[in-house]
Amino acid sequence: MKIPKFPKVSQKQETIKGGGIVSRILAAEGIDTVFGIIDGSYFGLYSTLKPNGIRLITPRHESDAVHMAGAYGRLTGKLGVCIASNGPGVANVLPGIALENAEGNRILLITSTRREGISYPDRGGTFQYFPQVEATHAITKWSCNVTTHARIAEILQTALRKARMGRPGVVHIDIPENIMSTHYDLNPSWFRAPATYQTQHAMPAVPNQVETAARMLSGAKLPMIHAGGGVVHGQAFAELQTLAKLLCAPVTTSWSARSVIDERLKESIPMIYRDVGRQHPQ
Amino acid sequence: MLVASIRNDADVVLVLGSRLGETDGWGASPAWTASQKFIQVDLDPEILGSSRAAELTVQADIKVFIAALIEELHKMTGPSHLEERIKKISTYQEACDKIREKLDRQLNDTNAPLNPALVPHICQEIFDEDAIVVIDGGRTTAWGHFFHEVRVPNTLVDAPHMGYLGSGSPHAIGAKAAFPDRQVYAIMGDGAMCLSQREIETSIRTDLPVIFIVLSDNTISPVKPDPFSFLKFQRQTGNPEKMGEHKWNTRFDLIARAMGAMGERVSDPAGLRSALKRAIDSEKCAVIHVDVDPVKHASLSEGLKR
Repeated sequence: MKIPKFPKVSQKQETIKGGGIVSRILAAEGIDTVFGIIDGSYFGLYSTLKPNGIRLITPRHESDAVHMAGAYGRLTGKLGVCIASNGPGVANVLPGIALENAEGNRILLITSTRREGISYPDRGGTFQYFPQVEATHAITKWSCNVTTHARIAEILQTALRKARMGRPGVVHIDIPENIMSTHYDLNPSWFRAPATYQTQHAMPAVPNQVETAARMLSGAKLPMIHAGGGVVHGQAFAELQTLAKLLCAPVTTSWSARSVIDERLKESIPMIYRDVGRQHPQ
Repeated sequence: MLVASIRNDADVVLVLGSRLGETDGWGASPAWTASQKFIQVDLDPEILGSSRAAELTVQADIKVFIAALIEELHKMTGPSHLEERIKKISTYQEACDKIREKLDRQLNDTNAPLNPALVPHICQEIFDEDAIVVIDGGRTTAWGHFFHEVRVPNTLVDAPHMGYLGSGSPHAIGAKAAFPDRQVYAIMGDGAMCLSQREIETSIRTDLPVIFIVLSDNTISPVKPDPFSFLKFQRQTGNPEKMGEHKWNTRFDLIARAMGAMGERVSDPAGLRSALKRAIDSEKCAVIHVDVDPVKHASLSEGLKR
């Protein structure tokens, strides 16, 4: 009698594409929308967006993906995320980055680059290649090329941290196409809860500084408030209005922060009523 | 009474999340005074005190800081010089009202083709109060700002730092993606729309319907000094095209229709009102080609003085 063999238990390790590591971390961050144009060079990224609950909105030009992410981030206070593919795709995002970084809109840009071994530096005539990270370096807050799949999580989490530090702008990570689409053994330690790699709390002021500010403003003869883009990114609209009323102080704004206050309020001085023809220092 | 004069009156200035850059006069005279005490609050420590000296520099999230400041102020007996502050605010508002009244004389001009001042004004009359407006263009940006009033915070998107042209269409679609249940419209110049009309197709394909209002004057000429562009370097340069010299006659309404959007061409106030209502009712992406008077459009300074 032939004794049946016991079914073999699969010992196969769970695998994940390099792009899948990115999508999974973005989803854990609560990101549900990404703007960008698909391309075979980062199939491993965009094919894993939907399974992670992330919608992809595709424009007709890569720079427009950056603008869409900029408006999305500015209006919601969330992180705007966009993607672009190696070579021409990244060449096309450059004007978008220059604008959105200057405007101070909070954006994460993820790009593919040519495979390891023929890029950084150019092997010599590498197709669809230019030093993308070097090109974006001057017009972003931070840009970084990922050299191994084992560092995707760490570098992406660094980018997410940097995106929320200081004045908002564009942060950029660049991942070789082969790493984007190759299956790797999954390392559970890549997928840390966001609270373990960045603070979840907005930075408070030192208490005695708040007391000093309150004394100065309360004791002033004619205090005023000048609001900039930080009010937009902090989504501090209701607080600003309450403060202006409490101090009985006029509020002027920078050009980019015009929309921080209801201009029908008596404390609001719309920026369009500015002096004309005044000479400003060089 | 204008913004710089109001700023000059203050003895203590609370700066919230601003670099005090070039368009804020670098925090210096004549836009401000040297004797003013500044409290500067910013999330970014590199910005603190970078443009001008501040008596108090605070690194903090703006929302958290204001909330803490309000709490601290509530512990106090109330601001000093309250009556004087109230009186000043009232004076400022009277001055602003006078400027507004002068500006709004433009709105009595109901001739065709349209005075560009009427476009943002009519848009605000037709769209919901919480609609998001995107402004993109050269002179169109100036007209858009002068004749739009912010009523709900965080409802205006433009590109003031870069003074960019062509980001309006994608900004509007990004806004619609963020708030699909709210109306989103873009007031754009014809040059701006030429740079980004490709995104009409995106608005249709992604079911993120945006209404694009394109001010068309069929003219290319550089920006001239005007009340909005107060910076010294913005002077008329080169040999500007003479009015009427260049006629391209691009029909943005027809481009829109060819792409599958709603498209209408209007040249008077009543036509604009009814086209906007039809565009909203259609729940589709729409492009309203608005013929504006090229002479009035180009002569913002003169127009605002009229």
